[in-house]
Amino acid sequence: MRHVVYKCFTIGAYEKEEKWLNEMSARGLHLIAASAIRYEFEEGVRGEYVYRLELLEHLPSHPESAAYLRFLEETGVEQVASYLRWVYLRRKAGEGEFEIYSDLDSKIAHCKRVVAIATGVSVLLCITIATQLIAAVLQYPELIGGPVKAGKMLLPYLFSVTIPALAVLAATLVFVQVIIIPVRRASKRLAAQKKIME
Amino acid sequence: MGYENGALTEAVYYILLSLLEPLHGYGIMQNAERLSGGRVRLAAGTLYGALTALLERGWICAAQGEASLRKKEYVITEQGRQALREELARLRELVRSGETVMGGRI
Repeated sequence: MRHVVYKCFTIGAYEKEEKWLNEMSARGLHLIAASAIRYEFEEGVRGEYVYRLELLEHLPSHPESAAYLRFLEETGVEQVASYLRWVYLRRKAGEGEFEIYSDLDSKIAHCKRVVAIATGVSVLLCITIATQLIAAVLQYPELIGGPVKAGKMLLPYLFSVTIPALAVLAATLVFVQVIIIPVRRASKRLAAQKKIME
Repeated sequence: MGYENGALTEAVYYILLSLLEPLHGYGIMQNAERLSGGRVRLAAGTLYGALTALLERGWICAAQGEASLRKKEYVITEQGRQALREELARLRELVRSGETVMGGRI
């Protein structure tokens, strides 16, 4: 029996997503396919698998990622799905504890990869916001003290186009930063630990 | 290549020890766990990262042979052995220092 579940996790909540997948596995529902918000489960033995999520350095199709995934396979780790650079991995619970990384350095590097995506998105948003502002000023020089031309509808344009667009972009920018707060915290905590132990 | 005075990571130390004989990734994980009495559990991602770095550094190399056709096997090089010897000397010194100072106090 297969079950399809739609659920949305933001990028900063991948640990929550992982926890949810493991709870589903404990109930006998094993993930077999996943994309942005669609998860497909297959019924099976309760708690048969432990699931982990990893953000790879490259897309799964990249030769380096392929070599890495092949290596994981040799250690009993199966890739069940991927979404962009994210891979959904699982290993039989009977083979013992399953973590992707056992050292602090690799854990910190993984957190940094997640934060880097959010930073990339934020930079794009900032560029878009700047472009919007420049476009508005070019069209309406009076915004920065230029001469006012008669007959031009400044206020309706601002309220119907520029301001809503900027508000949406700024809200998205804030959202992108807020969702990775847990990852930033984890990264800091690990880095502090790293100062006194390997 | 010089061997700075830096300490090897636990993962690297156990990988080098395991690779005195040709071995594949999963074998290294099992060996490290057995040698350390169950304490050191190398996770696959960490192991892969360390193996890649060691290959680049020339401390280990891919093993030739029939077995490695199925699962990729690695083996230590002379450079790797040298690093291992130096690490062992460093660890002995750490233990000696500890025992000199703490001796009988704990």
